Amino acid sequence: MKKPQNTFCGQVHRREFLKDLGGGFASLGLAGMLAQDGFFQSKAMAKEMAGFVNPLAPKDPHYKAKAKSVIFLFMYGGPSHVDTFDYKPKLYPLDGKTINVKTFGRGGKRNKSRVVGPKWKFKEYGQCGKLVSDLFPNVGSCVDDIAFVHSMTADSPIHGSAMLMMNAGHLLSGHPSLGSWVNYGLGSVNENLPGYVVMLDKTGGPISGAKNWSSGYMPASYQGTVLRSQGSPILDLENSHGMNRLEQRTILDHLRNVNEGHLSERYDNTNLAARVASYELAYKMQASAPEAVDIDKEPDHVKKLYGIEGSRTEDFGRKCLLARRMVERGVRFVQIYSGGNHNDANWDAHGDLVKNHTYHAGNTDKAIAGLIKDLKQRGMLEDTLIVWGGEFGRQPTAEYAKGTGRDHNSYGFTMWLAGGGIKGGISVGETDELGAAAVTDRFHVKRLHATILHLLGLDPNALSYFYGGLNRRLVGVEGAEPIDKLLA
Amino acid sequence: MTSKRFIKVTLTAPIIGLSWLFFSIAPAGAEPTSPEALAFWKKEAKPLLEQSCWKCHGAKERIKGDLRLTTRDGVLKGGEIGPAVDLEKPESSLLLKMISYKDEDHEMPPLGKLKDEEIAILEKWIQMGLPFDPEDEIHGKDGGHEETAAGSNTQVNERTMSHWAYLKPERPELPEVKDKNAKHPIDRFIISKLESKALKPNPLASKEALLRRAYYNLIGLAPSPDQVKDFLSDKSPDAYEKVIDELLASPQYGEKWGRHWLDLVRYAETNGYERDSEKPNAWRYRDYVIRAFNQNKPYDRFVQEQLAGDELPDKDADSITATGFHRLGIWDDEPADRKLARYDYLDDILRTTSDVFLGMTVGCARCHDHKIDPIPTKDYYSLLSFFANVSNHGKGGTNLVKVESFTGNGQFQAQYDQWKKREDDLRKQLDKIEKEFLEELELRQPEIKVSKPGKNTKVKQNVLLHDARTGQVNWNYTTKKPENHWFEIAFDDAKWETGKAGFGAKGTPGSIVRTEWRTGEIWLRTSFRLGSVPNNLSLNVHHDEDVSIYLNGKLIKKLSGHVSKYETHDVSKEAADVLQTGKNVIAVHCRQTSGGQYVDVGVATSDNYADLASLMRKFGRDYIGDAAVKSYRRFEKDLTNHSAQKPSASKYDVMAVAESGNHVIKVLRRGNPVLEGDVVQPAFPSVLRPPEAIIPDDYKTPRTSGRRRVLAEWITSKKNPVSARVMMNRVWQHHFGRGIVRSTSDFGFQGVPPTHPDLLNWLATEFMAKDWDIKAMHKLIMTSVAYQRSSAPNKVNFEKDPINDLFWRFDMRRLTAEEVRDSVLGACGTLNLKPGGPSITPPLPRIVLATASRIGAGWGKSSPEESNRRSVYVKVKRSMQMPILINHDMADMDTSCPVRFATTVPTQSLNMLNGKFMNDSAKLFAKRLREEAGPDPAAQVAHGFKIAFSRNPTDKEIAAGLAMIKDIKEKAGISDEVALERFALLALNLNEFIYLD
Repeated sequence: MKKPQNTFCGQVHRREFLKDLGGGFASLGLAGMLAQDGFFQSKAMAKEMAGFVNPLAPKDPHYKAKAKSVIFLFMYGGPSHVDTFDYKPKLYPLDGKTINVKTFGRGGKRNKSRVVGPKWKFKEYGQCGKLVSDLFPNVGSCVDDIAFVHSMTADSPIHGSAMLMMNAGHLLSGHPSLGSWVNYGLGSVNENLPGYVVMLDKTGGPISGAKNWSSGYMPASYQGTVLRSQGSPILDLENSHGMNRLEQRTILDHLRNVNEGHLSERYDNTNLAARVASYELAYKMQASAPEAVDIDKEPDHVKKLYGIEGSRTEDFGRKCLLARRMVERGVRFVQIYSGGNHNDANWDAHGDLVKNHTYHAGNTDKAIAGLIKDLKQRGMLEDTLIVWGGEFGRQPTAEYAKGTGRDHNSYGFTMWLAGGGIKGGISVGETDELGAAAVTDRFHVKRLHATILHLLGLDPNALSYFYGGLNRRLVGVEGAEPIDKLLA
Repeated sequence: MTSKRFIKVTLTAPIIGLSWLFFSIAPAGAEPTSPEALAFWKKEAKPLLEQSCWKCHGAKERIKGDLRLTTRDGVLKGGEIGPAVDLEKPESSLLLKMISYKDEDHEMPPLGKLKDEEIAILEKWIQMGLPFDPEDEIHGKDGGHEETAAGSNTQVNERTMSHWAYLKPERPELPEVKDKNAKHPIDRFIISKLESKALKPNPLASKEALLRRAYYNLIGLAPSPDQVKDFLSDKSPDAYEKVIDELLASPQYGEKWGRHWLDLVRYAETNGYERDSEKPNAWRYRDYVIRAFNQNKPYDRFVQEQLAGDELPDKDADSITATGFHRLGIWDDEPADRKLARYDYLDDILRTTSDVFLGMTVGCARCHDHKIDPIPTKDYYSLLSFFANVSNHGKGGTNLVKVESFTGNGQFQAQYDQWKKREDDLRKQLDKIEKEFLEELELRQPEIKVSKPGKNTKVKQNVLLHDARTGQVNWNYTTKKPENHWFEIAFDDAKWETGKAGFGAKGTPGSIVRTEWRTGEIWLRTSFRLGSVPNNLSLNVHHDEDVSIYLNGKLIKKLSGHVSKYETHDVSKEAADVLQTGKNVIAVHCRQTSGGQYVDVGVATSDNYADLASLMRKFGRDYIGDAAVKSYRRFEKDLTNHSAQKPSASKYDVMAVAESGNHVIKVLRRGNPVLEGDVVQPAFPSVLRPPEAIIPDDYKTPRTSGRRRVLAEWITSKKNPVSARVMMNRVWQHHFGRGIVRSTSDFGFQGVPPTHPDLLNWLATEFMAKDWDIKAMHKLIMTSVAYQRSSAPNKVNFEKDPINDLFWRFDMRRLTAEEVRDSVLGACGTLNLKPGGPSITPPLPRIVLATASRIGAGWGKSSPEESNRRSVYVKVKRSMQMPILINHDMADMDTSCPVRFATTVPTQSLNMLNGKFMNDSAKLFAKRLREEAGPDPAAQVAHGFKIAFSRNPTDKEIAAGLAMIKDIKEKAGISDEVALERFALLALNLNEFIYLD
């Protein structure tokens, strides 16, 4: 197995560290690649450029990967598992009864609460006969490709820290997010697009905003890039003063000429060359990114598959379709938020559960199923890993004296995965009969992260980054194993 | 289904604990080696352990919690929390506690609770005395964490204590060198190494390059064309030294070097997490740091103030502001586990302290002994004890402390202006509505002005201005003799203090003191509003002693001596010609010579008259409408509140440390707050052979334990083996682009060893010999030849020493994020050098604002002029940052950042070429070129070079520039004007602009 990268801890890697810090963590691979393209006029210079590593240049995985890319469908706010995928028949008749049950949510810890029976019926779907609620009929039709994990646990039932836990593996702010780890470990195969993109809800970002796709203590080159599904997709992709492409090319040519003159007297400074190269890459990105996000070219039947037909499913459908197009072009990690802002603008159903979940499931169900089906028909599902879930689930009981709202629940909740080396048509782990807490095969969020890294060919316990006197890992110092039962 | 069991547990009374019954019914244990015991092992216990426990506890290389359950000894020895099984008291065995799932923090196996019958098996196994077939044992390397290779350095012993970084720096002799020109002490060390490797260092850099280097290095800005010209024409031998002195004296110096410090102390103005809420007045800490660098505060004092500024015997406003250091970190206002969060909070302070001041990663020893360095967990908690009583962070203004000082409040003017603007706005709004109302009143009830004796024969006072007995009235006051026209209506008293009446010394008979006044004289001003002019007017006055009262500029009453209660004076006659509708100004002067002192004045009328407020209440709705009256009331209320918040020139709130309680710190196993171990006392890291940490009684203050002062004094003692070296290495780092120890916050065994250990020791001893004088060290370093060398390549040297370990040249560096933005503003000529004050929030593109859960929340809109201030004043909001800064690797401030990255990615280029800020700036830059260089394009190009690159262009370069403009113009079909803007944009994008030689 390959040694973890960039550990100046290991003496061998010290030089690598030196390059990273201060002296310029240059994306010299950019220069390297362009040198091979004959970009640099002087051969001597091209030679100087070769042999350096771009932080985002593709890297070999630790072992053979099942998945090349990840699409993380983040149901921000925390969907209720007992109303979606975790069928609890005994919960229905308890509706309205006050029972002893240990819960911990926004409202603190409780030992007794009023049950809110599940508000939707469940039906059997697929060969596997998986029971799925009426909230997700379309996802229901895909269950044979899906592995459900009903026994997820997390350390916090509070949005702020729980979001950071799900995205970066720690309750404390300041750690790199999952997408950053993936880009750090594998690089990006398409230098014309960011390797890690995030699509936000139109109502706003999730709480803590950019911290959710931050690269933490790693260089900013690994952070997520916000991608818009409408309008100019990436910040500053278009010139703010309306400069056209020819004009820009002209300026870039001059920029390059002058920079090369500057470089010729400083030929051993690879950072300068990298910066020259980065302008060319930006130029290429300007050409390819709009094409990548241009979903108008997609045939109608595909758009329809995702629910892009002017209805409420259009917004999330566009994002899912964009995600496919991104993955198709080599983007490693795509995260789409369902829900933004606060309260009922996301899955955080404290008040009226029926209204909230009907709305959010209704916006996403068709699009999600469309994504699975589309990837499958293109043969892409086998190496694209889809992850669905929120930062936690919801309690089987009511939060307030009246109403159907449920408080947060990190003792047990459901997430599901599909494609990319996942065994379809299975369910692992269980919550108790109320859905209050995971009891069998309890899997901490770290196990999910370990599974995702593992499927990408990265050893979760070896992928580390030296920072602050310690080899840091996404899965923490204690480490975590992938969930074997999920693997195909 | 296991869930059946669970439902019983959840729905009925506590069933947990029933399993303990098994003890009474389990057969008493035979000898653990008996055949039946071994059979039980083979058949029952082993398969269960194998399936549920061994995977993490012995069967694999990685062992969790240091607990090996695959050998009998391992079980008895136990792991990090203690022995798994207690054969003396089997029923209290830790293992049984774990599998019972009774304690949320101790549940094993983690995947799910064992079945009751499985638990019974383990209970029986323990009861039987742990039968364990030796053949089944799996042995391995224990203490089984990684990095065991470095494990030999983790003990505190003679060998590890003599690690170079832990020894007190001895002043080395200056090395003898062949190069007779190497006279500067620093050069002696550098040249000595170069000679030993037979490397010939670079010659001196050009004067232009050196000037630009020095400017950016000390003030973070480029020299202006004039400054370049002056330097080039100054042929005196000390021309360069003079520049250094000027730059060190410049107020911009603190803005540049203060930022380096802010990186280290994780400076941010919000708390992070869900609300990313404000840290009120955090910016005062930033201003303190800038001021400290500008004042050249000795480093020892600087450190003491930050750690214990509230405990120092000569504490002042600045030293208290400095303790904001403790409050800068991330803080979750809604943690899942409050106890843990408390330790997380203290941990953040400890980590920052040990990383920054000691260059030691003590934080790594929180859960277990440090895996690389000789720092035991006990040392972590001993160090933590110094901070044990630091009070919890809180919401809003919890951490604010009021301090009094003039020196620390250079921002008064800015705040005051801001405050005054709002006050004027509110007054204008009020005036407008009043005017409208009074016009209507006049029209509809002209008689209201006429005196009409009430039906009520009893004379009733209508209060126009409350005295202290009936209301709380704000007055502006001063105790320093004001200008002669101080009593006039138009006099601007806004810079006076504001306080509530009455004024005086407590205890004066009949007084109600709300604002203390103890000096000889006081001048007071306030106003009241009238809807109509009353026919009579009286003053309610209490005075001790002589008082003069003015109404709208006219002296209407003079009283001498003192009284012991309020008295009423009729001033109808005196006031008749000056009373007016709207605002009336009362001005009071009081003087006292001895004894108690007091003054308060109220205004009333016995007229059946209504003041503006009551008239408004009565008729307002009818005359000007409900909405207007509502607005009026709102503005009135706002004005009252606003007046009370008038910035004070001498008193202000700072974010500071506080202590509460007297907390005992215990070692926490695995860093887990529920696994409390031995009590520890404050102590310094043992590997440094420190003195005992004794807290003298007189270090205690009424509110604090004195512990932090002891820590601060140890850190800044000249006997401390690490502090001076760590700081000098940082100073060196920011001169040369890298430390002599490149891992500047980690001098431990995995840190990068110093390239010039003797030089570092020499610098450290010199630093202390100069009494921690940072500016002196800057000058010393910058006057070395090593600092002044050219950055040019040299093939031979490059091959031998590609990363310039030996300083054979000066390393080029990219401008920092702040320098990039400031330089662009500088080139435009729009950079606003206004210092200090609340942070600015320049405009951000919508795509960035929309990343917040409440779009754009917490990011205000600074005026264009404010937006052009230096980047060190841009608000550091944890969840939102300016793209141009983040793209150029500004520090992530969730933790201390000792060394910044310098990444190069295409998104930077997109931003630099396409972004609004850059394109707007290019326009301004071009405009400046036209204005300053005149219409000649060649002159414009030449001027552009001088501004952007701090040097004179060659003729060839000017020609190339002109050709470029022509080419862009022709190809794009744009005007001359736009073409020059494109040229300007190009210049701001060039490597020469962004990289320093």
